[in-house]
Amino acid sequence: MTVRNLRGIVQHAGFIVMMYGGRFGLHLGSAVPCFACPFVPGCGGFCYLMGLQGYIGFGMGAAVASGMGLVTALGWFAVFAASVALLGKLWCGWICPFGLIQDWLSALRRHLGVRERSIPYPVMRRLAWVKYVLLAGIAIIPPLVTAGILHEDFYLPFCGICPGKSLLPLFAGETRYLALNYDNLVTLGFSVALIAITGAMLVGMFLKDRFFCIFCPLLAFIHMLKPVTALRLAKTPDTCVGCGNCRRACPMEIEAVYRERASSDVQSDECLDCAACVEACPSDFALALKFLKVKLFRSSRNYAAGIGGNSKKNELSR
Amino acid sequence: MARRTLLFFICVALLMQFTEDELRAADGMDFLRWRMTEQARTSDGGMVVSFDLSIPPGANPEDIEVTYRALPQGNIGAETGGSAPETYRKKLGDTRPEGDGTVADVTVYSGRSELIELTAASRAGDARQYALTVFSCFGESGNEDPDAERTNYYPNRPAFRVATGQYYFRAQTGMPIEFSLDSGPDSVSVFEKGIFTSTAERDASGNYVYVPPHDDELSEAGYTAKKDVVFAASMPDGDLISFYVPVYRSFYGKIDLKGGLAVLSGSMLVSAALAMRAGRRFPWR
Amino acid sequence: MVKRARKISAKTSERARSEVRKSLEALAARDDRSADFDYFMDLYGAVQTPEAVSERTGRPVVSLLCIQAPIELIHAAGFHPHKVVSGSQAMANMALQGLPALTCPMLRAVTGAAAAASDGTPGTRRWVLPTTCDWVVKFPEMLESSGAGSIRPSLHWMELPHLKDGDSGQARWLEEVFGLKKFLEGCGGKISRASLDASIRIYRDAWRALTRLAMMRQEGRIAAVWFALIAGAFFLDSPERWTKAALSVNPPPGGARSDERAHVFLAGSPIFFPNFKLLDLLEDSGVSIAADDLCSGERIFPGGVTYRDSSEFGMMSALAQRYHQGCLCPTFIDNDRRINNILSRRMASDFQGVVFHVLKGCHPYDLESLSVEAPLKERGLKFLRLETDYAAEDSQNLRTRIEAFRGTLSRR
Repeated sequence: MTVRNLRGIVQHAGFIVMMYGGRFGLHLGSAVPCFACPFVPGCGGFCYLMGLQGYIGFGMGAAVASGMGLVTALGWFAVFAASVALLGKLWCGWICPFGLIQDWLSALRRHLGVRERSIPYPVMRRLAWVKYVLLAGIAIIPPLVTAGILHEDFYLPFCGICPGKSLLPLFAGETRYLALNYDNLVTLGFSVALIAITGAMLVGMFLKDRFFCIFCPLLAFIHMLKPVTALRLAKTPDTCVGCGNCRRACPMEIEAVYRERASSDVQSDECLDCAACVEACPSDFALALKFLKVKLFRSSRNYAAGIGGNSKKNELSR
Repeated sequence: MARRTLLFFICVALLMQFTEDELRAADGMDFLRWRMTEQARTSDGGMVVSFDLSIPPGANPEDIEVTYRALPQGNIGAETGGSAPETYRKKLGDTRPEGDGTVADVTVYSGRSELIELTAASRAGDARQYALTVFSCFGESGNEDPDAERTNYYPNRPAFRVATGQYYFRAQTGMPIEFSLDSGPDSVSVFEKGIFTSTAERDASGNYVYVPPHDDELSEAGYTAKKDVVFAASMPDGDLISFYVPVYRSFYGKIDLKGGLAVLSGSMLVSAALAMRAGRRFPWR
Repeated sequence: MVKRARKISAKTSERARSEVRKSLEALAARDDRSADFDYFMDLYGAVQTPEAVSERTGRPVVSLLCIQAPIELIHAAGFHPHKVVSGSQAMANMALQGLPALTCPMLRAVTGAAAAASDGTPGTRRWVLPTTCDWVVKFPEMLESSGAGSIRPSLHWMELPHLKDGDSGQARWLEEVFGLKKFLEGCGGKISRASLDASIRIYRDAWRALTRLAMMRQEGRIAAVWFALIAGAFFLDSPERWTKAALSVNPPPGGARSDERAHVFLAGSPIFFPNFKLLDLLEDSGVSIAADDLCSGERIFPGGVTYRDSSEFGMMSALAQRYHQGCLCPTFIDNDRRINNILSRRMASDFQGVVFHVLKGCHPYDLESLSVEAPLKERGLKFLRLETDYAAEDSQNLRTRIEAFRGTLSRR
C-alpha cells in the first residue's frame, strides 16, 4: 500500500466522520481543526473557526469578560492546540472533508486531461496574506456584533463567505446555503458573496489542486501553532539533488522544499503535510515526515521507483 | 374621489383596530402562560434560558408549581430512545405585577445538550391551569442546574406531545407547529405577539397543526429575533392548558434557490473566463 | 584511395567485432555468470545498425548521443530512442586521424563506427542532439570531416539551457521539448495524452527494474560489470523486453560481494561496453562498486517522472523538468547539488570512498572532478580521480593507484 492510497482511505474515513458522525452519535466537539462544517445536519464535530467566531471565542461578548468565560475560551483553544500539536497539518492534507472535495475535483480534472492552471509560487506567496486577513476578520467582527455595533446577522462572518458552508451541506441534502437570502440586506449581501465565492472556488478548485487552501484561515491558524506541532516535514538538504519532483508533486506547488539548501525545516505556510513530495522524492533520506524525532515516512529511490508495494500509477499524488 | 378613498381606508383601519381590541377583550390572555425572555450562554459553557411566567389574576403565585424534565439529545433532534427523562422542581423567581395579574421570573440552567419540557401548574380553585413549553439547550459544561431540585413528581396534566422537527431545534415561521392533546377540544386559540389571531383545528389524526406566518419584522431584526406564539386550549373539564412556542425567522421563508444558482453559474462563468485568459499567457497551447 | 579506405574500414570493423567477442567471452567465463544475463549478452552480440535496432524493436529509430532528450516523448511518438554509444578502442583509433588529439573517446568511437559503416550516402535515421557539451555540438562536423557523411538533413537540435535552477532556463527547455514534439510529429510520429502516459509508464517500469538491479549491486549480489552490461543494453531493445529480462535477473546467492572488499561510489564519465577496463581493474583490486552516478549506469535515463497534472502539457513539463533539473551532468553551470546524490546514497550504503572516472577529453567531468573533491573529503570520503581512455596501455599504472587507494579504505 502506498502512502497515497493510505491517505485516500484516511481522507474518506475523515469525510464520513466529519460529515455524518452525528448520525452515529459521534461528535468531536467544537474545536476540530478542519472543515467539519456545523451547517451540515448530523455532522460529527464543529470546525474551530465557527466556535472561534462564536460562543467559545470572539463572539462570546460579555461572557468572555467574566473569568469563567475566558476559561471556557482558553479551554477550547487548548483542545484545538492539542489536536494541532498532535497531528499538525495532517488535519489539512489527510482529514479535512473540504480538502477531499478539492481532491475529487482535481481527480476529475486529471481524468478529463484538462491542464492544471498552475499558480506561480511567487504569486501564491503574494496571496498568503489573504488567509491572515480572514483570520483577523474572525477576531474583529464578532465583538462588534456582540457590542451591537454591527447587525446581528453579521454573526459568524467567516461562515457567511466560506464555500464549505455552501458545498458541504449538499452532501446531507441541504441546499439552502446556495440560495439567495432576502431576509434583509445583510443576509442578502452574505448570500450573494457566499455564492459568488463558491462559484469562483469551484472553478478554481477544478483548475488548480487545493485552490481554496491558499486562502484558508484555518490553515493559517494551524500554521501559527507550528512551534508546538510534533509533526513536521523535514529535509536533509545534503542529500537533495534538486530534481524538482517535490515541487511538481506538491498540490500547493510549494517551491521552498525544492529551494532549501541549508535548513531542515521545510514546513511552510502552505504545506498540508500530505507527503506527496516525500513520495515523489527519488533521493534516499532527502525528505521525511517526522513526528518529533521519529521518521514516519522518508523518501527513498526504492519507493519512488515503486519497489515495495508502490503502485504502477504514474501520478504520484492524487 | 381620492378623499373618499382615504376616508374609506381610515374607517377600515379603525374598524380593524376595534375588532382587534374586541378579540383581545373576548379571548384575553388571562391564563397561565410562558414567555421566553432570554437565552444566553453562561461563562462555564452552560446555557440559561429565562422565562416570564404570566400568572392570571385570582391565582396565587405561591400555589404554582414549576417542574421540568430534560431529555438528553444527541445531535440536533436525534431521539435518545428509552432513557427516562430526568425531572426537576423549580422555584419561582422574583415576581412583579403586570396589569391585573402577576409575572414571575423562572430561569432554567442546562449544562448538557438536551430537550427540556417546562411545565407550570396552578392549583387554585376547581379548574386547573397548566402552562407548557418545550425548548432545546446546547450546554457543554455538564453541570446541573444549581437552583433545581431533582424529583420524581410530575404534575398530572393532560397528555400533551409536541412533534419536533428532525433537524431544526427551533420553530420557524412558515413551518408547521404540530402537537397533540388527549381529549382536548376541537379547536385551540392561537395568540401571536400577545394578540389572538386564529384558531388551530384538530385534524383527523387528532393533531393540532398551526403554521405561523412569515414576519418581516423578524426578517429585518436578525437571526435571534423571535415572536411569541401561545396556544390555549380549554379542556372539557374546565381545565385550561397553554403551550408557548418562540418562533424564529424561517430558514426558508425568503430564500431563492434559483436566484442563487443563477449567481453561482454567473460567478463560475466569469471565473472560468478569467482562468482561460490567464491560461493564454502560456504559449504552448 | 577509396579502396584503401574500404579496406581500413573492413579491418577496423573486424577488430571492433573481435573486441566485443573477447569481452563477451570473458564475461561468459565468469563464475558468477547466470543464464539470466544471456539475453543482454546476446543483445551486444547482435548487429547494432539503426536498421537492425529498428527491426528488433518494431519501431523506426531516433538516434541520440546522450540522455538529455526525453526518451519517453520519443517513444510516445512511435519511435525507438536509440542512444548511440561505443566503447570500441578500434573505432576510436580509426577516427583519430581527422580529429583533435584530445577528442572525447566515446564520440571518436561513434564517429569511427559511422565512418566504417558509411557507404557514402546519408543514413535514413533521425538524430536528436541536445547541446550538452562541445563535443556533441561539433559531432556533425566530426562526422563530416571523418568521411562519415552528413546527418544534418535529419538532425534536430535541442538547445540546452545550462542554468537549470532558474525559471527562465526551465521555460526555455520546456519550449525545446515542445520543439522536439513538433519535430517528431514532422517525422510522422503521433503523440497523444494516452501514448505519453503509456510511455512514461513503460519507462517507469524500466526504472524500477534498473533500481532493483542497483539495489542488488549495492547489496553485493551482482557484480558491477553485470550491472554495467545490463544498463548499457537498455537502448538496444524495446524497453518492455529489456524490463522483463532485467526484472527476472536473479543471480545465485553468494554473489560477487565479500566483506573483505572495499566499497566505493563510482562517479564521473560514462563507461561503455566493450571497454569495461576500469570496472575490471577495480574488481581485481578488491574494490566493489556500491553505487554510481554514471550516465551509462544508474543514470542511463532519469526515470521517476512524476506529475500531478496529467494533461498533455502537464506530462510534457514533467518530462522537461525531470530531464533538466534532475540531471547531474557537469555540463550544467549550477550543478552544486551533484555531490548530494553521493551523500544520499552513502546514507543507505557503506562505501568509504569515491572513484571519479574522467574519460580523457571529457572536459566537463575533468573540471568537475576538481570541484567535488574537497567537499567529499570534508565529509570523510576518500577520493580517487582516475583519468583514462579506451587504450589498455595505462592498466598497470591504474591498477597500482587503485590498490594504493584500496589500502587507504581498509585502514579506515
